[in-house]
Amino acid sequence: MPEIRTEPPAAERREKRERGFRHRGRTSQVPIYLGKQYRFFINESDWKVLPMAAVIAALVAMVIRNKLFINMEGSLMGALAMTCVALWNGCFNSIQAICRERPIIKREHRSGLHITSYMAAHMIYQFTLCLAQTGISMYVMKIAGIQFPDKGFMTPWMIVDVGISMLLISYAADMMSLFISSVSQTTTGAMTVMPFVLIFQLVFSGGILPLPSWCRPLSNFTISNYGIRVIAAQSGYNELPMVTGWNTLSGMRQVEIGGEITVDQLLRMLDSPAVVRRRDEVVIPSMTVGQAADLLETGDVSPTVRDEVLTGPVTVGQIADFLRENKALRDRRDQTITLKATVGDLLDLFGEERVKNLVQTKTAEAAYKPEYARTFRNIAWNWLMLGIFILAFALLATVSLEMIDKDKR
Amino acid sequence: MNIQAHLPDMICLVLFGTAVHPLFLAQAVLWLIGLWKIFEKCGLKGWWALVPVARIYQLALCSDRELEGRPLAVLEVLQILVSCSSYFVPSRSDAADILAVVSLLIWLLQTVYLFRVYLGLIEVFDQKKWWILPWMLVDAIPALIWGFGKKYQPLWKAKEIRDDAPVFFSGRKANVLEEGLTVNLEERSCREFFRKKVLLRDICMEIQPGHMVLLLGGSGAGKTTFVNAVNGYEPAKAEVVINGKNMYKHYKEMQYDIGFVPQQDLMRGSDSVYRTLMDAAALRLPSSFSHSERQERVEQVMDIFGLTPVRREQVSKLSGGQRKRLSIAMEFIPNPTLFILDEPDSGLDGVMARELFLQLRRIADQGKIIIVITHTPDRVIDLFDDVIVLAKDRNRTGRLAWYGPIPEARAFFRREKMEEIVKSVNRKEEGGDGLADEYILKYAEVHHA
Repeated sequence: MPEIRTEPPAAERREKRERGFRHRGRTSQVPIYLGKQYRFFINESDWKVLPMAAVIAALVAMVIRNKLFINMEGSLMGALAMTCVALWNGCFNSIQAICRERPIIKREHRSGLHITSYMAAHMIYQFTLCLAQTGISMYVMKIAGIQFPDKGFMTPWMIVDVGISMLLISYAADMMSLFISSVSQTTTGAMTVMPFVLIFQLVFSGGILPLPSWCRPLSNFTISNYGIRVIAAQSGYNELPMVTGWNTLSGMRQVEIGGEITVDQLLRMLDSPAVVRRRDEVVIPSMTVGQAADLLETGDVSPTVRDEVLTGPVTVGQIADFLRENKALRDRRDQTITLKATVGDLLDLFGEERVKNLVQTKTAEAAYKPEYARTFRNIAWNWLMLGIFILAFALLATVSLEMIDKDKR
Repeated sequence: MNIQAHLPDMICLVLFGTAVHPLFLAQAVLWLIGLWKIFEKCGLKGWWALVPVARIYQLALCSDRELEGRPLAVLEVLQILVSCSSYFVPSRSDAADILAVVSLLIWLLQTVYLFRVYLGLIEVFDQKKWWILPWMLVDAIPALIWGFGKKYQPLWKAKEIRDDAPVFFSGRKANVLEEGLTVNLEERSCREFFRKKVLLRDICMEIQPGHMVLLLGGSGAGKTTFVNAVNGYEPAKAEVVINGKNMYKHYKEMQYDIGFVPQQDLMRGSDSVYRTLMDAAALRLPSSFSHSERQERVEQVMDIFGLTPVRREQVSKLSGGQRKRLSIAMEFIPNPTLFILDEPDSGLDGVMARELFLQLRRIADQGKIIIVITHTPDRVIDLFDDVIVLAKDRNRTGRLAWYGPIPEARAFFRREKMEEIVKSVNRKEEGGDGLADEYILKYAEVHHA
């Protein structure tokens, strides 16, 4: 055991006086804790979050790769899936970061640690982790076959646009978990809270599950709400077709529709409001002999009769009146007629492509959501909201940690 | 919304905590009658049983489960509010559903806390554990049996743990030393559930430089509270003077002149020994120290505590003894005048513990003051100069039962071993002799004389 050499008390006190008592400031403490985070990353298991991010991104990409940026439903599903990836990454980066060393922080706080320095170091470290995870996730998604459009909206590249959103969601979730970690006394406590937070984030995001009116405002307090909005907006949700309606209809091609109807029922339909409303609509326009001959391709017609009016315009009302007053029909009032056709027949009748375009356009119009509009204002607003989440949770974590001395012994 | 129609329900809910139903009401009234008698048996006023919310807290006091009583009282208030609110919302509405869920959650929490309180009551009344079933299912019956039954008596009374017993003050004040540590602690208290709780009272002492002092006391006697008050971490109504300078008035300046080594080895396993000490030096040494000066100090401290051979090792790979020495070394870096160690020998075998205390003795011999809390003092008692004995008085407040040299302490308590001294001042229900009040008074008289 070496001899302990210390100066005599009086000399020692004099030296301490001369040295002063000013200790390290906030800024100069940050590198100390960054160093500790770095060693945690290398020596403990923190590095595992990087391969984990790649695996999660690959799994999600396999599901959404053929749908994202292609149609409305796929984009919304993709937005939810990508938000989930970012939330998951962020949450599990930091959920144990503070509570696992809470007694150590308490001891160091006693020895002059500034909580703001500690939090700043965590924020820098966690940002680096989130950045790396986002980079890995985007790369994995790209090589897994997600077709990111070349041109971005906020930046020249769409992959960068989406990457920024993923980074912000991930970092906001990270800060939220850091806050939970800062108020939890133990890692078990933090991990118990985590599933509830994730469920709240997903259920109350309002993106997928329609919320009842009373809990709709809650979605404004979820990171996922802004995450889904911004990714859906970036993927051009409102400009894409909606395919569910058409896919459903197309899948029903073999379904037969129709039934039996009497002549009487048919005649009474002529008095229905729909027919009455269209009484003046022209069904067959006025036509000259020449036009009729051209239509029927009957060859030359004498110029003297060519301009003679063959028939006046025929309206819906005239046809209805004709049918109603037709004796032959009235005599067969009780006769039944069988109408039968498959959905496919009807599609062929009206033109499949025309119906498809009509259904996709109309359902897309009905599904239009202003919150998913691809505008600079909308995307920037959602990014800003995610930024506010980041700052708010970081602030809350700092405030809660400042009270660490009040922990029960 | 017809308030008048629901008024009887709400009154019943507030007064008895139950709905207007003859069966429930009868059960509640019988429970209250039983509680009245139980409160009286436990030394409390019986009429507390009639006061909504407060009665549940009083019941927790009877069970010696005051900590459970607080949340229970809060939960009861919340349950009343939620239940009353449900009368004002339409049934089958979203709001009614939410209130029902909240009410269920509160009820679950209440059940858990009530379970603990009833278990405590069973312990206080020294009864069989199976009583928990009737208490949880039909509390009125056991309440009546325990309230009126003569053979059901508590082992100790709730009033014994309340802060209303007469308080004795020595009135003594230690003389402020120019060299060394002077403590004049009048009171250290905290507020718990709107009540003032006195943790320490009337502790005065002067400790000379170069003294190694043993701090003894039973569980809850206030040892850690005392050292936290001395090192300024949890200030008390006190005067703490180190080398003529008031610690509380110059805390920022003197913060690093006191080293406090906690019981657990609170260090990061991923850091190396050298890195841990360098970071500790960066935090604890004044910013006027250059990097090379910090390195020099770290090398010196590693040398003192025998850590140089393991300087590159990760903390997680160190042995228990090495880790303990590292923990002490961290606090020794700023070369403190006062060094406080909370159970530094916990987890160490006899040989390693003695080696550690010998090291501390050498540090003390250099003119430092060392205060050590340990639960196994007898194996190293020859290394100490003085002993502080803290004991809980009848109000469960930490008091000074002795401060002075070891041989005199033996004579004062008429016991040879330090562990026997602790046993003598511990309460009877903790397995001690219950002589704390006697020694507190005797010490004050001896000191005055």
